[in-house]
Amino acid sequence: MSTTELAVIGAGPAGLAAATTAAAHGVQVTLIDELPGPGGQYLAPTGATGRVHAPLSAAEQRGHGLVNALSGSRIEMRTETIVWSLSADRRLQLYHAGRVDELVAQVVVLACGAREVSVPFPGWTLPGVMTVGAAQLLAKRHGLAVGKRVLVAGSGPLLLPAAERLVRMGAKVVAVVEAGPITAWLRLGKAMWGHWDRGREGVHYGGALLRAGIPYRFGRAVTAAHGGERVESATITRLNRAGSPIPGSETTVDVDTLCVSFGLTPNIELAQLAGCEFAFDPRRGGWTPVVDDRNQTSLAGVLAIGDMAAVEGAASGMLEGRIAGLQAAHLAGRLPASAVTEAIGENAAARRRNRRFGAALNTIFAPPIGLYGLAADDTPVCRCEEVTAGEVRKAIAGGVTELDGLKVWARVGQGPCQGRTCGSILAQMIALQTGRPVADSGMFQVRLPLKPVPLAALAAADGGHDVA
Amino acid sequence: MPDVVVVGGGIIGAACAYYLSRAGAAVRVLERRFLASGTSRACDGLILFSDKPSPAEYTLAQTSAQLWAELAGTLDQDFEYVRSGAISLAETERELAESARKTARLQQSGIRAEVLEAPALHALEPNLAPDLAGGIFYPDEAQVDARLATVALLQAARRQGAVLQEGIQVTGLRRAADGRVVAAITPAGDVAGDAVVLAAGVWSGQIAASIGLELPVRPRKGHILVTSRVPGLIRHPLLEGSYSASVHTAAEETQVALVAEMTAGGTVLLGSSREFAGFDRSVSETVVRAIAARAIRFLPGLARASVIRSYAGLRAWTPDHLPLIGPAGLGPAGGPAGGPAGLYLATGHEGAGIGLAPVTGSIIADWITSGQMPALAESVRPGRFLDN
Repeated sequence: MSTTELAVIGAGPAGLAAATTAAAHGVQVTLIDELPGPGGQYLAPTGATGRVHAPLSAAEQRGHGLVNALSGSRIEMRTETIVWSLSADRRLQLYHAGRVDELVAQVVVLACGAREVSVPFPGWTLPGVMTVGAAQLLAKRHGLAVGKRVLVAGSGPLLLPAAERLVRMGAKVVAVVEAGPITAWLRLGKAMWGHWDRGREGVHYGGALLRAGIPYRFGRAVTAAHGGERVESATITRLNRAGSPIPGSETTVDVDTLCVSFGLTPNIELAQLAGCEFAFDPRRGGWTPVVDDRNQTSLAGVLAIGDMAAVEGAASGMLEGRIAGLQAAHLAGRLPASAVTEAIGENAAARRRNRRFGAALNTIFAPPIGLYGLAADDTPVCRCEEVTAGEVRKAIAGGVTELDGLKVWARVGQGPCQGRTCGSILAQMIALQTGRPVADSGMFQVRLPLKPVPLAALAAADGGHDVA
Repeated sequence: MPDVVVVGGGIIGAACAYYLSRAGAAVRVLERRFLASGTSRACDGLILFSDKPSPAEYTLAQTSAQLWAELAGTLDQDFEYVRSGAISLAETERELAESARKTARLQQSGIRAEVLEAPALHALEPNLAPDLAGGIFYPDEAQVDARLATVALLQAARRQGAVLQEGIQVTGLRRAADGRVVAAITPAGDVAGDAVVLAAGVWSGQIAASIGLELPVRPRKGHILVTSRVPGLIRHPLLEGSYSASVHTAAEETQVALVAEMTAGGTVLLGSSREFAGFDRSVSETVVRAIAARAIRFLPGLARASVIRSYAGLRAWTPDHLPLIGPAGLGPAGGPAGGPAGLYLATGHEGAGIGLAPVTGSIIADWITSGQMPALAESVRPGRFLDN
């Protein structure tokens, strides 16, 4: 067992900001991440060739500044480390290189980020069908283009940089297919007033796609992927207002790769396990821990920041991280409360803008519920346990109204991912079939260890204490 | 035929609903959350009788095991019933000799059992630690998926006319002027019946307390670990020899003894722990580690597997380790006993709830529909605690 004043979980932009800010005020900081280095998914190190690099956005530049600040600081960085449990009294259970270890922290800042939302459709488990995020990682980390003829589909602004990068890497992007109507961008434009950085990014990517002659189709979705060994073609269908496909409007395109993304959902599992209070708010991206203006959760000394508290992007995360870092310094006795209050006051307007932007993004581009009817009865929806949509629909017809109830009937959410992939899908499938609000589907109860931990490590840590 | 209200949608409530509706009763099951949302989704699925300490219990457990075999053949929905037989493991020659003596007694009661020396044990289970002294094989023991079994029983009950209402919390019991229990009290109003069956596991006590009835039931917490897939690692459910000892102690401190069960999906469920911790269902990392260590001691190959999840459930402990099954009063006609007429108890199964569910349901159905004490019901009659 070891101790620290502040444990920051997640070394993405938000966590880096919290760690460096607190350390600058003399706080002992342990920064933990599952990846081999700091930066998170957002600042993933580009180990790759020149043409992979795009000009860095302002937020990316600030993020890289934080990564650089780490090396000069006294922050203890624990990479490739999994936090597999967190208790309300701030005991963290860690796993690294075959060993488990307990870390007790006076303050915990959760900065676990977000993950991509998937929507199942027939063929979505074929090789060659992947998330936009996976394609981006392959490109950033290894300089690999995922395919030669690629269709990018889903919803939201994340489709654009992914398509632009694929073009830059020499792939043929057949089209970008957006589920939202063309008016979605107009609505987002209104919410972006004041976000000049983001506006410039949008114009940059949009312009690049336009110059490359890539069609950008609205109000459509990939409703099926076809192929034997691997995806060979995809069916694109127009959607009605509810997001259901309009029969007769199908077209089919030949592709060797299909990249799909429906935006992001917060990584909340550690906060759940610790016992934080939660609320469902589509503007924040779904279920998030309830936090106050300094991002404190309902548990004393536990803060949640960045995309896991509300999906608003890196710039917002870094601002929240800075304030959380100050709050941690205050809790550790290094700063007067007034310093935190002052920082909150100074940044109130910027945070309101971030909130408005995030809310617009999360609601305007949320996948419409009709899309959750795309899966055929034999389409797998829980990939770990290979449970099909038909089995899930049968259970819902039998009276299941919440996610944990579905676990009892249909073995979903019980594989190594504990429902991180299928949870949001199944919640929507329940809502679609019962006509009840999606919040009523609840959250999967999470169980420790949050990620698989080898028995050998757990057994070795048992130091002969008095449980017989 | 009577109207019966069953409180609790776990394995016991589902079995009561099944046998009652099969006998023609009009059954309404009230579940505060969803099917199997309490202990029935936080347990293993073993159907054992060799771990029972008295002949009365063997008979009960054996009868129930036979009922499970019948249900596997009759219920529409599959619940992964496998009668592979289970093996009780002995670490040392001394343990093996002790187990063999116990086995001789079990065999006299008609339980099939076979003493395995080390070579025979390793022939049956090649992945066991090579230094184990042997074991006892009980060929008639079996396993089910507890959650699917609950669903299967309840779906069958529904087809027989039973009604399930989920999301309804029973907060107390309503008594008529003559003292008879006539309804379950819920926030949505009273649900009346000719009989009320309390099958709410460890939570039964809180409901009974509403009419001043004190049940001798305490929550005892048990942990289960789920491993990553290790297909073929074990072929039978395995129990550490000291498992039954850990069941039958009332020790306040945490007891850990290995139980391992392969699921149809290829994961292994690892138990077990027993501790009195009130109604707290949180998982302790310390207990998880202790079970992991115990598991590797017996199955070294598990060192390479991972724990993907763990959970803790609350088993309803009673002072004599026998469940409470039957009328809270002497019978439907009422009587001088401690409990009121109209109320039936089906709780207190501790770690044997899955195994004993069918026999429990069938005893409750017999009591309510015949008014007579069924065979086997004497040793589990709640009156043994409530009469005075």
